[in-house]
Parts: sequence; C-alpha cells; structure tokens
Amino acid sequence: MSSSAGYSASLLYCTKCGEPFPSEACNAGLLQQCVHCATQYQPLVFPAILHRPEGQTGEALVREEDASCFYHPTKKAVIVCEGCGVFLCALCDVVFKERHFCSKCIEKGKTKGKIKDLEHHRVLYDDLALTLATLPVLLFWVSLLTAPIACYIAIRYWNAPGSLVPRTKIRFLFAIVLSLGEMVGWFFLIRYLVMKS
Amino acid sequence: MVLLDSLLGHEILGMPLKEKEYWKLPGVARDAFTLVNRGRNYLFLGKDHLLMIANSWFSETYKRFYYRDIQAIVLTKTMTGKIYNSVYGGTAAFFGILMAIGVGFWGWREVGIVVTAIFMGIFVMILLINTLLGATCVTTLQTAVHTERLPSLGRLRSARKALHLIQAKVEEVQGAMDASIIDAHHDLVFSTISVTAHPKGWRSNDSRRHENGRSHEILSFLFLADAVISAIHVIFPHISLTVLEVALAASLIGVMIWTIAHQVHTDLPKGVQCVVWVALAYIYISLMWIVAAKPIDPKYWSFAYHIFSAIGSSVLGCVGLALVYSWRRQYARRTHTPFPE
Repeated sequence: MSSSAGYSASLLYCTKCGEPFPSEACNAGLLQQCVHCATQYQPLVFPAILHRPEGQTGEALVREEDASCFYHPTKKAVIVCEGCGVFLCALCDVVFKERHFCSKCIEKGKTKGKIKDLEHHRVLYDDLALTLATLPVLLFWVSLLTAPIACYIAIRYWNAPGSLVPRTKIRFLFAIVLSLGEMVGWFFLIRYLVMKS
Repeated sequence: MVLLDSLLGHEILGMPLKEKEYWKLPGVARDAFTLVNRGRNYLFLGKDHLLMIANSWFSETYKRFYYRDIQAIVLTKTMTGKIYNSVYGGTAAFFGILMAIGVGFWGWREVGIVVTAIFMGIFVMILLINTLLGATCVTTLQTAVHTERLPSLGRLRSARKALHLIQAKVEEVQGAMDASIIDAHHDLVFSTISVTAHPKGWRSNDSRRHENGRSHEILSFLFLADAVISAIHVIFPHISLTVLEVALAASLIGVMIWTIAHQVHTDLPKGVQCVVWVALAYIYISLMWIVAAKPIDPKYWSFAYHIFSAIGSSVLGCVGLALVYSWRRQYARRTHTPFPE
C-alpha cells in the first residue's frame, strides 16, 4: 500500500513487504513474525477502527421563523455555543469534551490558553532560568549578564504555567539562589578591583 | 506555606494531595543534539488521552491522542540497534588494532596508548549501554484521520511495557477486540485512512521539513574535487596541491557540519542522509591515517594516502550526487513539480 496525497495506508500492513497482518496476529500480546519477510511486529487493534467519522453538513432552513445559524443564515440552528451563546448549525457545532462550542470560541480558548486541553505549546521558564544561572560553570564572565536575567525570569514567571505534567518549583528556587550568589560574587570582585586600583 | 506548597508541588499538613493528572510511560527518545537543545520526547498516560511531549530548548510541544480515537498501534522490531552496535564495535576494534599496531610497530609509549585506550573505552561503554538498552523498534499509532510515530517507544522492552498500559486504558474506553471481530470487518479494518496536516513545528516523522539536498549536492561536488586533486597529486606531487587539499578539507568539514545540521528532521531519504555519516567516518579515518601513519616512509605514505583519498572521495561524490538527483526526481514526480526545482 503506497501513500498518496491526502490518504495513507492503514497501519495494519507489514512496513517492509506491504502484506496485511493476519487477523489472529492482532491483539495477541506477543511479537509476531511476518510470514513473507520475517519482520517482527506486534499490532494492537481497537474497536474505533470500525467507526469512520462522518462530517455534518447542517440542515437547510425550512420555515422563515425557525432559528438560523449565526454563521450560516440559510442553515437551521441546532445548538447554542456554550462559550459565546450564538446559535449554531450542525456544521458549526464543535463538540469538545462533551461540550458544544463554535469554532471562534475554540480558537480563542486555544490562543488565550483558557482551554488547557487545547494547548499545544508551553515555555519552560524554570528551565530557562536555571540554565542561565548555571551557564557560568562553562563561561565565568557571562554570569555578570546572565545572573540578573536568571533572577528576573525566576521571579517574573514564578506563577506562570509551567509544564503540563507535574513539576515542582525547585528549578526556580535554585536559579534564584545561584544567580543571587553570582551577583554577590560580582559585587565583591568589582569592589576588590576598585579598591586595589 | 504557599511557597513551600508550590516547591513540593502539592498540598501538605492535612490538606489532600493533588490528584495526579499524568503518569509517565516508560521510554524516552533523545535527538542527536540533546545535550545542547535538550531535545527529548516522552509519553504520558492521562485520564482520557495519551499525551506526547516533544521537548526542545526551553519549551514543550504537546500532542494528545484521545483513547476513544485510537484505532491501532503497531510496534515493529528494527535493526537500528544492531547497526549502531556494529558501528560502535567496529570503531572500538579500530582503536584496539591501532593501539596494537602502535605498540608493536611504531614503538608507542604512554601517551599514544592512553589516548587510544580512552577512545576505545568510550566506544566500548557506548556499545555496552546500547546493548543493555535492548532491541530497537518503531511504534506507530493510527486514528481515523492520521498516523503518528511515537518516538519515545523506540526500545522493544519499554515499548511493550508501555503498550500494555496503553492497551488497558484504551480498552477501558472502547472495549476489547478479538480476531473474530477483525475477520468479520476485514475490509473496513484494512482500508486506507485519510490524513490531515500536523501542527507547525511538531517534530515527528510525518511532518518532516522538505529538503531539496542542496547542501548534499555541494558536499558531493567538493568530494569529487578532492578526488581529482588527490588523483593529480598521485601523478604530479606538488606543494601547491597540498595547500589546495588542506583548504578543500577545511571546506569539506564546514559543509559537512552544515549538511548534518540541515538534514535533521527532513524528508530526505535515509540513503542520502547515510552518505553524509559515511563521509564523516571517511574524513575521520583520513585524519587518523594522517596522524597515525607519519612514521612510515613519507613517499610511500603520501602515495598510499592519495590513492585512498582519490578512490574514497570519488565514490562518495558519485554516490552522493546520484542519490540526491534520484531523490529530486522522485520528489518532482510525486508532487508534480518540474525537475530541477
């Protein structure tokens, strides 16, 4: 099964010889061997494979007094958006986590980070602060610049959302302690050099 | 107290613990420059979805696969681990042989022995770690609209453990499926699926950047130039040619670094990418030759080296060019764009 634009082969074919896996090999819980090319594989198949998603088109408006879709005035409204309250046809109805939204609310939730499950990118400020604080291990003199930046980032983004997966604030704390230590070190070094000169 | 709570990541002193949202699955994929860019890939089990995290520099990119949408997951055992092992083993053996020759024929003392022993030790250690990590595999997940490779499940042992946990979660939502059901719906199960685009910046096999192989082409031409100069050097040895060779070697190393950086996460075929790594090994061997073979009679050494260089560079140049042009032709045919682009 070769790939073509817009369509791809099902996974249930041997990647080497292209032969389909035998049904009994699926969900067997063991590594199986392709009878044609001896490639070892373990396929898991779930009931979702039997359901093909069908797109909704939206029902046309029959009577003039019927409520119409906010985005498609000729289509019949079937539901209200739970985010902004506009009427939606079946085509505009986006079901997310068993709730109904319009595409604009979904987009807003994604860009403003209001819907956590739609977020696909986060900056790890704690890692950034800690790296800036520990960078002087390699280059001592850069700490003159990186220490205050690390300290600023750690304090400024202390409450900013970090990784989606559980993570403590220990990196921020280390970054603050290290960068403060570096700044104190620089203070005494400069003071010493000034006094000496 | 708030500070302490946030440091520990949960409530304390009689307050209930925060319910854990994600459980990490075994396996992690690191990219080639992980020490610099912290490029890693993990999988986490959530309540209703599988979370894939691609870590790069100081940010994370997420992809969620809801249990109700997962249609199939296929794990395929690969030879990658064995190939890496043979490369590491071969390199360790090379240093071992070099040390033996150095001690036996060239009268190496402490420094030479220690340096080669360190290199040999490093490669033996990498070989050992790679062997202990076990066999390699590729794990791919299918939903109704796309297929996605799960890079963190690249080792057979951890992948099978993870699959067991994922299977339990998916079956909790969808129920189990056996061979009789698959047989009954054979056509539906083995039919094609539609594919959607991946989010921008997402790093996976299915969303690789297109690369036309310009840097590979330049590298191949540089190798051909090196082959020509080496061949001339065999017949008419001259200092000006040596100077030219040194300049060419410096540009080769520069272009090679550029090419390696360029080919990461691209759609270039494995063969084209492989040629660059072989070329890197070839340059490395050439340098070792220059360093190790100096005590031999200079005339004989120079003659042998330039023959080796002429053959090696011409093979790499020709193979590299042939593969790049073949790739461009294939790409043009597939996307209906004129060749050359």
